[in-house]
Amino acid sequence: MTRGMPYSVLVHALVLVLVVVYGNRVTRRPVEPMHAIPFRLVHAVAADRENPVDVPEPVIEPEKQSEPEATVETPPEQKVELTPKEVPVKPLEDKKPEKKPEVKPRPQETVVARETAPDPTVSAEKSAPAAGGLQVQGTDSDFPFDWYLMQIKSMVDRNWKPRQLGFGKSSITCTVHFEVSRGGAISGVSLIASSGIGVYDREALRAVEASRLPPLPPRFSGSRLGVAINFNLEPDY
Amino acid sequence: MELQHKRVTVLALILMAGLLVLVSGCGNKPAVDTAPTMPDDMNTTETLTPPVVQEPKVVDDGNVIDPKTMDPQDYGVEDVFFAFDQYGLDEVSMGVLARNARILKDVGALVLISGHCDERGTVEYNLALGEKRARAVRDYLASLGVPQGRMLITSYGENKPFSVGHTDQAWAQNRRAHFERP
Amino acid sequence: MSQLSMSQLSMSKLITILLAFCAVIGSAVSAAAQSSDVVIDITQRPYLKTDVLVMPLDILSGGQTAARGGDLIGAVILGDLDLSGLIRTGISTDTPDSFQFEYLIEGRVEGPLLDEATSGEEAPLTVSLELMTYPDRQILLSKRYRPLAGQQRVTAHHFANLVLDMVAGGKGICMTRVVFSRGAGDRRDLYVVDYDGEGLLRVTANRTLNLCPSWSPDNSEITFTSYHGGQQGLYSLDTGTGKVRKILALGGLNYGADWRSDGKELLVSLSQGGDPEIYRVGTDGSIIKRLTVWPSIEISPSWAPGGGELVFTSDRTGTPQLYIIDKDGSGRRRLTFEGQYNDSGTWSPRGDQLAYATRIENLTRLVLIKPTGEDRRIVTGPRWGNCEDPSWAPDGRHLVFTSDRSGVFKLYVYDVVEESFRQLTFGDDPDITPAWSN
Repeated sequence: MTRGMPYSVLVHALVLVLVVVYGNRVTRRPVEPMHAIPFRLVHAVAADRENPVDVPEPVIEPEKQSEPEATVETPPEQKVELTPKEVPVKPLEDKKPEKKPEVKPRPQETVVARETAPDPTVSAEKSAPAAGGLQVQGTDSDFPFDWYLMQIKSMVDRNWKPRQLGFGKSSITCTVHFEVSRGGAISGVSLIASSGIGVYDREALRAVEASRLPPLPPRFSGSRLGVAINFNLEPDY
Repeated sequence: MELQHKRVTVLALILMAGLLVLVSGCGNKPAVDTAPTMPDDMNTTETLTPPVVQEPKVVDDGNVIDPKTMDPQDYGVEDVFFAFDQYGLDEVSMGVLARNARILKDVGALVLISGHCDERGTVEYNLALGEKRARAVRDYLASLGVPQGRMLITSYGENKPFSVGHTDQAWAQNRRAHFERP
Repeated sequence: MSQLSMSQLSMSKLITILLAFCAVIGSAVSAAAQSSDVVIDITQRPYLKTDVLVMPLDILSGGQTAARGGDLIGAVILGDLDLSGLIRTGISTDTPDSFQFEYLIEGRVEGPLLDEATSGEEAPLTVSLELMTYPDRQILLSKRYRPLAGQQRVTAHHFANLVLDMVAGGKGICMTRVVFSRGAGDRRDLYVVDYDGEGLLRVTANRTLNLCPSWSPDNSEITFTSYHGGQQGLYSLDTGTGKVRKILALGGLNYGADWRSDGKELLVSLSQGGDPEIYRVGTDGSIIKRLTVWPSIEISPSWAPGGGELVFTSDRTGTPQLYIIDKDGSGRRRLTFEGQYNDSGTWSPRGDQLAYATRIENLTRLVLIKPTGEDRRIVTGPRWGNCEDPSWAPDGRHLVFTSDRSGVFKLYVYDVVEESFRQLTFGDDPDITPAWSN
C-alpha cells in the first residue's frame, strides 16, 4: 500500500483539481438574489427572440409590446402554439449562452412595472378562477426556457386547490422545493418555507406531487432542474 | 242745702257709672257689629315673615310650587325645537327661552336640560348633536341671567323619542331640548 | 524501521481521508453547478370550502336524555361549521360524487347510569368526539367532555372551534357572543346572545338607559354607557361576577368606549371640555391622553388592530366624516370623502378594511372601505332600511349590525366573503349598538 501511495495521491489530486476548476467555470457568476420578474410569454417570444441584436435597447421594448398584447388577449390558441418547443427556441440557437445573460436582466427589469397588468390574460386560460398573475422568476442565466417554467406553473396551478382559511393575516404563502430530472420526473419534494398553517402546506405539497411534467428542454445542459414554487393565497376579502 | 248737694253728686256718679258701663259695654260687644274688623293677625305684625311660596307669580290656583317634586312643564317652562341636523336657536326658541329664564330665575330650581334628536342618523352622532342642543339652550339661558349652577345638561340622542312615528311631524317633535327634573 | 513505517502509515491515512473529503465536496459543488434553481410564483384566491362529514353521534346508553343531548350537540357542531363559511358539511356518505369528504367527525354519547339518574341531581353525559381524515381515518382530534344539560351547546361550540382550527387554519368564532342594548322609551338594558342567536340573557336591570357596550380583549368585562343616576357615565360589568363598577362620569357625554387589544386602555369620547373629544383613558378611568382638540364633535373612536392608529368621526368640516390618526394624536388624515354623513367606523381585526355607516337621503347604509380610502362598497341596499352600528367578529369575515328593515331595529350578521346575511335577534323591542366579543 505504501508503495502505491504517491500514485494514489497524484490521481486524487488531479481529480480534485479538475473538479474544482470545472466547477468554477460553471458557477462563475455569483447566484443573484431571486428577484421577481413578471414573465410574459408573448413578450419573450416577440421581442427577445426575434431581435437578439436589438436587445441593448430595452427602453423601447415595452412600448412595442402594446400591439402584441392586444392580439394575444383573445385567442388562447396562440399560446398553445408556443408549446411546440421549437418555435420560441430557434432564435436562441444563434446566441452564445454567455452573451445573452448579460443583457437579459435589464430588459425584463424595465418591463416590471408595466407588465403586471396584462398578466391576467395569460392566466385566463386556466379552469380555476385564479386571481393574480403568472410570475416566473429566473436566474435567466442558467435556465432561459421560460416556456418550460410556464408548463410547471400551469400544471401545478391546476392541481393546487387551496381551501378557504379562517386566518388572522391577510395573505398566506409557503414555498415548496423539488427537482425535475431530465425525463420530467419530480423528486425531492420538500417544504422550505411554511405558511404556519398545516393544511395549507400539505395542499401545496400535494399539488406538486400530483403534477406530471414534460422532460426538460433538450437545450438545457443540466442533469436536473431545481425548482422552488411560492404558493401565495390572495386575500378573498 | 247740704242734702241737695249730696243728691246731685250721687246722681252724677250714677250717671257717670252708667256711661262708663255703656262705654265699656260697647267695647265688649261681640262681632255682631256690622262694621268690618281687621284680621286677628294684624295684632302680631312684628313676627310676620313673608313666605316666598305665597307670591303667586305663575300659578293662579294658590298651589305651592315645589321644584323637587314638580316637572318644569308644570310651572310653565317649555321645550324648544330645532331644525334637522341643527343646534342653533331660532327667534321662536329665543322667545320661549326668554320666558323660561324669567320663571327659572324666580323659581330657583335645579333643572336638567336634555337634548334629543329624531331617529335619522346614527346613535353616536345623535348623542353628540343632542348635547349640542342642550348646551345651546343652557348657554342662552345663562346669558339671560339664569345661574349656570342651576342647569345640568345631558343628551339622549335618538334614544328617548317623544313621538314614535316615522313622519316629518314625529321627527320634528323629537328634535328638541327638554326641561326635566334632575 | 517499524517506527518509521508506523508514522508513514498514519500519515497516509490522514492524507487519504483529507482527499476523500475534498472529493466529496468537489462533487457536491459540481452537482450543484449542474442543476439551476428557478423560482416560480403561483397566486390564487381561494373559493373552495373544506368538505367535512358529520355523522350523527352514537348513543351508547342513557335513553332519551342522552339521545336528545347527542342530537343537540351534533346539530350545533354542524351549525358552527356551516356558519363559519369555510366548511361544506355533509351528514351522510350518500352524496353526489362531486362531494368528496376530506374529514369526518364521529362521536359517542353515554348517558348517566341508572343510579346516578335516580339520585335526584342532574348527571352529566359523557360525550366523546373525534375528527379524522377521510377515508383513511387518521385521527386528528379526540376529545371527551362531561357536559350537564346547560353545557351541551358550549361543548359543541368548543369542539367545533378545534375542528376549524385544525382543518381551516384559523381561530373559529364558535364560542363568541354579541352584547347589545334592547328596549324602548327610557329603559334600555344590555343583553348577551351567542353568535348563533341562541342563549339570550339579560345582564342589566337598572331601570335606565344602558347602551354602547364594548368587550374587553379577554371578554372579562363589558364597558357601557349608562344614565344611572341621571347623568351619563361609563361603567364596567364584570362578566364573571356580574358586578358593575363606575369607570368615569365626567360632566357631559362619556361614551363610545373601545378597548385596545392589550387590555390596558380604552378610547372614549368625552365632552367635559365643552364638546366631545377623543381621549385615551385607563381602565381605572384616569385620563392618559387627549387626542383631539378641535371645537367640533369628535366621537366614535375605534382602534386599528395593533393599536398604532385609530379611526374616529369628526364634523369639523361641517358634516360628520371619518378620520384616521396615530395613537399620539398626530398624522391625521381624512378617510371618507363620499357622502355627507359618515359615522360609526370600526376597524376589522384583520386590519384590511373598515366598516361604517353612511347616510344617503335620510337612510343610513352599511359601507366597507380599505384603510387607504379606496374600494368603498355599499353593502346594504335601500330594502334594508336604516343600517347602523357595525361591529366585527374576531375572524374579520363576519360583522353584526342593526337594521330596521322589519319595522324595528334588529341585529343581523353579514358574511363579507359570501355577501350573505342572517338575522340574529328577534322580537318587538329595538336592539341597538351591538358589540361582538373577542
